[in-house]
Amino acid sequence: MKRKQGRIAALFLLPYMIIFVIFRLGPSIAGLFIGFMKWNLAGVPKFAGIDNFKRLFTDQYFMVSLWNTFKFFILTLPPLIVLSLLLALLLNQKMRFKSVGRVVSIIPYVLIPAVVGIMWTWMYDNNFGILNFYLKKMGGGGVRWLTSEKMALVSVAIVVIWTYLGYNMVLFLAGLQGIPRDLYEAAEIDGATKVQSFFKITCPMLKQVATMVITLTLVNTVQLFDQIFVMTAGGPGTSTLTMVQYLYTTAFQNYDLGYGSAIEVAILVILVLLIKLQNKILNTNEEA
Amino acid sequence: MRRKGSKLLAVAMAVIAAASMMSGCGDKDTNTSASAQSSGGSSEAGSEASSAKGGSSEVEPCTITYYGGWTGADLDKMQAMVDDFNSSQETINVEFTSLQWSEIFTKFLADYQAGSSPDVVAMHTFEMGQFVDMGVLDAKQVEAMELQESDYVKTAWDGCKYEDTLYGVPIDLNMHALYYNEDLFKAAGIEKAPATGEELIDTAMKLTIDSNGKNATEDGFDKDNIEQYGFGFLQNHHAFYQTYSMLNQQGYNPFTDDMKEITLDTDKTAKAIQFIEDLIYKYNVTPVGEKSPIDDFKAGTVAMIIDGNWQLSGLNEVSFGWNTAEYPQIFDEKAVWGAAELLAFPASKNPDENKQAAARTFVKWLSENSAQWALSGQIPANIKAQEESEKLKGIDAYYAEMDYVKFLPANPLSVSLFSSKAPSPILTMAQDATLNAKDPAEIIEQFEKDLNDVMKNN
Repeated sequence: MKRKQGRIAALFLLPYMIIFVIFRLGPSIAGLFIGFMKWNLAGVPKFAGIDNFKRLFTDQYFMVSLWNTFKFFILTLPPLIVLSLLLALLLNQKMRFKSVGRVVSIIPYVLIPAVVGIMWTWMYDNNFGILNFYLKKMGGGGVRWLTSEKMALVSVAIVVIWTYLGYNMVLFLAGLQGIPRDLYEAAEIDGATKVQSFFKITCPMLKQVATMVITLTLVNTVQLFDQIFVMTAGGPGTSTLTMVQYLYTTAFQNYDLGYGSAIEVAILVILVLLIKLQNKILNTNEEA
Repeated sequence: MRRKGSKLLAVAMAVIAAASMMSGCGDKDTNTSASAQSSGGSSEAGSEASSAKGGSSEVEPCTITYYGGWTGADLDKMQAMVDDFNSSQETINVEFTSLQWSEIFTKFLADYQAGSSPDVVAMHTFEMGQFVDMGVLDAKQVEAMELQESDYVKTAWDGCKYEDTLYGVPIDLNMHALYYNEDLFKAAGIEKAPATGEELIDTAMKLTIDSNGKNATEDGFDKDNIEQYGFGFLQNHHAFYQTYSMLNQQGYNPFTDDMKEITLDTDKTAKAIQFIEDLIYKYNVTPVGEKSPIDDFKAGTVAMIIDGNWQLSGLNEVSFGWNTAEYPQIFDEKAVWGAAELLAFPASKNPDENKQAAARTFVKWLSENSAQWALSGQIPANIKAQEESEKLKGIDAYYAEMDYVKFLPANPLSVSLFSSKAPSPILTMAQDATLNAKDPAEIIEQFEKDLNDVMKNN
């Protein structure tokens, strides 16, 4: 019986597995091989040994993109955890219009990233954008949101936080609603305050959701492309050049497919290492 | 309680799926595939197409593919031209596909690798060297068309050459010129558009007005509360194009088709960079970090801008008087940055002589019948088409610049050297000047290093 069920399950999985192998696994393995080639897409690939991978260590632009990606992660992670958790706590209360609040919160996430980028570019305009208009009205000076090397990455980070806040809120909300009420009731009987309940019950019970949020933020950060492409094209200078933007320019503008693939492999390795590290830290804490 | 949580997660997953689908729909907006309907064309026109073979044999009925990188109004006009060709005869059916330029080139190269090259591909002159170097363009097809140089604008014709070989048929030219708001000029008592660097600064200062109504030439002008700027320009790679214009105005062009290393003339390059920085930081006539001069111009918040002829068709509905003037002569001689678009024939791993002949027929027709291309603000490179075209308001200034327009070279590395996306030597150079007001000497040193690094690493 079990064997038959297994076969049926495999049959249902087969279409996806075929697509996965053709469009995901195959290209990923091919990418690894292309990383050892010198290839401009039009000609015949030539074996280049580990030249492309060696170049990663001396390429100033790759280092800049790596550093920018790291800074972006640091800029986005705390707000994406703290703000989305606060929003989830708020929208988990008994209140009017909470359904409306939940829907409104998720809207930025369902918008097309390029549209979000264009919209925010208008709002960020130095001279005639709505943000600087109100800042000036309030007596402040205008901010060079996207045209200052110091501010551009922060400005894009704000857009990404705005985009993902609602999505993370839904994850936290699901986590919050999965916590049994009797834990809070027991704590209340024992004389615990709301704050104590939050730190001793809510936070530990949300650890798995938080881990998922961190992992998703990490993956989204490393894959950051659309907003950068639309809003800054990696500039001013190279101040918002991220790893995927650099990969795109290298592979699909300069047609250096070999080096582009080496960058792709490097991104994958970095991502896997970071997720491993994250899991190790969180598991260690759990054991302690 | 747990079930409620699971429900919410399911909703989240549905939202993700919806978002993915919406993203997919968004991508489709930039992609058009125009399958031509050749039925219904007149037999007279059909026989004309059959006989117009550009020196080739009779064309048998066939479908050919044509790739371009236009979007928006340009795409609509090109689409209409392809449709016109298809309905003008019954022999050749053209399937037109247009994506963003980078994406269409990737598709073109992938198709070439797969042995299914398109029959015609559009590109810019500075992009051509890269494809010639890759060996994916077929110059023999152009040669077989037996074109006459005298039928084309010389700069556009020359721009289609690489190492003295013609690799494409020029279709249009694009340049920078000055747009100005006639109403704001009248209000400031200015009678004519600036033609020199001094006039540009003087005019721009009179048109830069603070919140107290004072202009930049008056005492007490408040540069921190400017409500109307005199002069605007794009502060990305287009700011480099302006530097390029100004280098050429000093009789200096360091960029060539065959350059392998570059040493910049510090004095001349510094003068050009300094002029740009002064407009923003010394005279305060240009907004720092301006993102969209054409929108600022349309809104009436910037009185003059430098932009290309592709903006002309979008100015039909503005409520104020406007006009264009030639790019100001800031240094010793007239020169302005420009580019040309061309139609090339991809090399094929499986050449089909009939399709090649059909492609030549189509390109010849498109070149000679490109008058309506001018309706989207383009300047046809074919002189006959130019003469037949309806002149858009403001195009005259661009026509006047055709004698001294300067193209970037068709160097095999031009796409990397002159990229509009980071990491790009010209983007860093332009933004160090316009956004960071760095010392020109420092900018030049970095620019030279960045250019040479690209040439060394590729």
